[in-house]
This record gives sequence, structure tokens and C-alpha cells, in this order.
Amino acid sequence: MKKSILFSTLILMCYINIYSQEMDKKQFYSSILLEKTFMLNDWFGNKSHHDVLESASIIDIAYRLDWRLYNGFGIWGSYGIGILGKAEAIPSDLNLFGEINLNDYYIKDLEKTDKSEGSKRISIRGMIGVFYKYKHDKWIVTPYLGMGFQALTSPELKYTLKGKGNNDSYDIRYRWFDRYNEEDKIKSLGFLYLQVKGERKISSKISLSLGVSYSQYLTRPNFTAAMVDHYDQSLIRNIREKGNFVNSLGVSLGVGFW
Amino acid sequence: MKIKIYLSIALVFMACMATSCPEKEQDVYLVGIELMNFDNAGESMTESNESVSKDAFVIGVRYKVCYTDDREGKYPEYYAQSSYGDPKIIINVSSNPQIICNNDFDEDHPAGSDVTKLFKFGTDKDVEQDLLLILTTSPAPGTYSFKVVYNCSDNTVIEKSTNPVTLF
Repeated sequence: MKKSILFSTLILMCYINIYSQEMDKKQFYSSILLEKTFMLNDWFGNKSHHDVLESASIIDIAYRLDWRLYNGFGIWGSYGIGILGKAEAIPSDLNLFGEINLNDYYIKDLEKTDKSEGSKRISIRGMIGVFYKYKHDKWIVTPYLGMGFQALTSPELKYTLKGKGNNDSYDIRYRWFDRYNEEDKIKSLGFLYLQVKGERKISSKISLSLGVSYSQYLTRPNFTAAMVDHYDQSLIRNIREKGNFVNSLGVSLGVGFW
Repeated sequence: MKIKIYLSIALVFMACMATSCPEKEQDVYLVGIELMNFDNAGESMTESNESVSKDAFVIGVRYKVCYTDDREGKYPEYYAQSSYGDPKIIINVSSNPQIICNNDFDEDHPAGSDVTKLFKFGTDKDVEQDLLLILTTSPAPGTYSFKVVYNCSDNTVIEKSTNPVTLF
């Protein structure tokens, strides 16, 4: 049974390859794709942590350039802008340190980087990779494999607690991503991208396409909460929670220019 | 004509390079200190020469320094935190000061004893002090004065006592 499946697959590949040899000699193909992706899992198991991050379910419009190098094989790159899924605002009175009762403290120097509740943000998404075009008559099937980056807001909440009537004072900081630079408010996430696109030429210059994609994010969020002494900056308590490597499915519609 | 353009570009480049001189850190000596009593009961620290809660007492230390190459009075002393002379490295101070209680603090700490361990050392950007000595153990209510002693690496001792303050 297995042998017959393998045999049929080989015959199919040969058939497609023969037709691929007949592909016209055009080297560059441009297309514009509108893609909607759906997250298959959450950033964090903890819902309140997950909700603060912008969703990887996005609507993205991108320009893609395919450069055919040899037969149907080539490299591609795309650059687009997407509308990120909504995120919740960080509650200003967030307190994950059970030993602290906020009513016993003055809250000072509060700084927050997050999404205002319900609003959406435009984000940049870029990709680069390889493809192989199978062409038969007016139909072209192209598997794409690539790597990309997606920019997300890197949320942060920090404030200083000053004890009422005493010398206690703590600096509290919550972050959803590690930051290499204190001022980094945007985080670029790398992801692996796999797409199969079916395309039909409707004229000698234009084609329409429908694609299905899968994205596997290579960076995961890392929630940290730190409580340090305000005066000598000694660490008092630290909470860490690793997030998930998110993956998503996407559906795209496109117009190709030949 | 071309050579003039190249020369102009080179001149502009050289001028830019000449203006980006890195700041040089200066070596200075600690020559004196000033102490202040702070009331830390509220949202922010305030200077206080009256009574202060025994749970919210802080001593502020300001450093007076002078240049390395002249300790004979040629150059005046100045506050380490002032913009004049910044940035700086105080080379004759390598450790935190010793704190002596001038009055009986508690049963274990009679007058003249070392109470350094009852204080925490730190800073706060909201107050213009080089070092804060934060009291972490509450004494019995009473009037107190503390002596802050720097045993400097150049074999000099710099010390000063706080104004008496009532801790309630």
C-alpha cells in the first residue's frame, strides 16, 4: 500500500516537473496579497497575561516579489502592513505580589506602555524565503517557505510604592517580553512561514490566487514581574512565566502581475 | 572646483570630529560632609529639624569634594552633586560610612555604639543627596543624634553629627 502511494506521488511529481519545464522565461513576478491569519494557541496559559499582548490574528496586505532563478525554483520577499488584533490595557493597579497591600502605599512615577483598550494598531510584517512554481496550462501552484518578522508592542508597567508613615519603598516592574534596551517599546518576533498558493491566469498579464499558510513563531513572550528596593535596588522578589510559541493559520487572496 | 568641494567636506568632517569630545571623568577627594534629617512618612521625603516618626527617619549625606591635584586650598571645595566638576570619582572613599549613635538607642546599643547595621544605604533621585542612610529598626521614642564617620583610604577621618531630632 505504502509503495503504491510512493509510486503515485513520484509519477505526479514527474508529471508536474515536465510541465514546469515549459514555464515561460519570465524571471520576476509581482503580486499583492491580502491575508487573514488566525492564532491557533494563546501567548500565555494565564488569560490575563495573554490579553495584554496584541493578537497574532491579523489582517495583512503585502507586496510580494518572486524571483525565479532556475526552472520553477526561486526566492521571494514580501513586505506588508497588518492590522493587529486588539489587546487589553494593563490595569494600573496590577499587583501580583501577595505581601503588598496597595492601600498601605503611595503609588508614584507610574509609567505604562500598552494598548489602550479595544484599539488596534498597524504593524509591519516582512518575509523572505524560497519557492517552487508548478505550472500547468493556466494554473500555477506554488509552495512558499520563508522566514519573517512581526512587530508587536512590548507592554510594560512600572511604578514606585512608598509606604505610608514608614521607610518602605519598592520599585515594581511588569514586562511581557525581555528587553535588550530599556527603551524598546516594540518587539520584533521571528516566525517560520509555509504557504501553498494556487493561482490562475485570467489574462496574459493578471492572475488571481488563493493561498493557505501556516506560521510558527520562533520567539515567545516571557512575563517577568520584579520587586526591588527603591533605595538600594536590591532584588526582593522576582516572578517569571514563559509564554508559548504561537502558531497560526492564514488564508490569502491575491492578484499577480505577469 | 571639485577639489574645493572635497576640501569643504573634509573640513566639515574634521569640525564635527573635533566637537565630539568624550567627557573625562575627574578624580576628586572627599574633604567634608553635610548631614540632614529627613522625614520620610509622606509620599516624598522632606527635610525636618523637628520631630519625625521613628519608622520614617532618614539621614541625608552630601559630599564636599575638591580636585585631586590640589588639596591645599588653591581650588575651592564644592558639592559632589553640583553640575560644576561633574562627572567625578571620589577616590579616597571605598566603603559606606560607619554610623555611631550619640544617645542610647536600645538595650543592645548604648550611646557611642555602632548602629551601622540598623541602617540601609541608598539613593533617591527626588532628593539632592549623595547618600541616604535609612533607619530600618525603630528605637524607643526620644531625642537622638547620630555621628557619620568616613574612614578614608588616605588615612583621613571625616565625621559629622546630625542635629538632634525627636523620634516619636
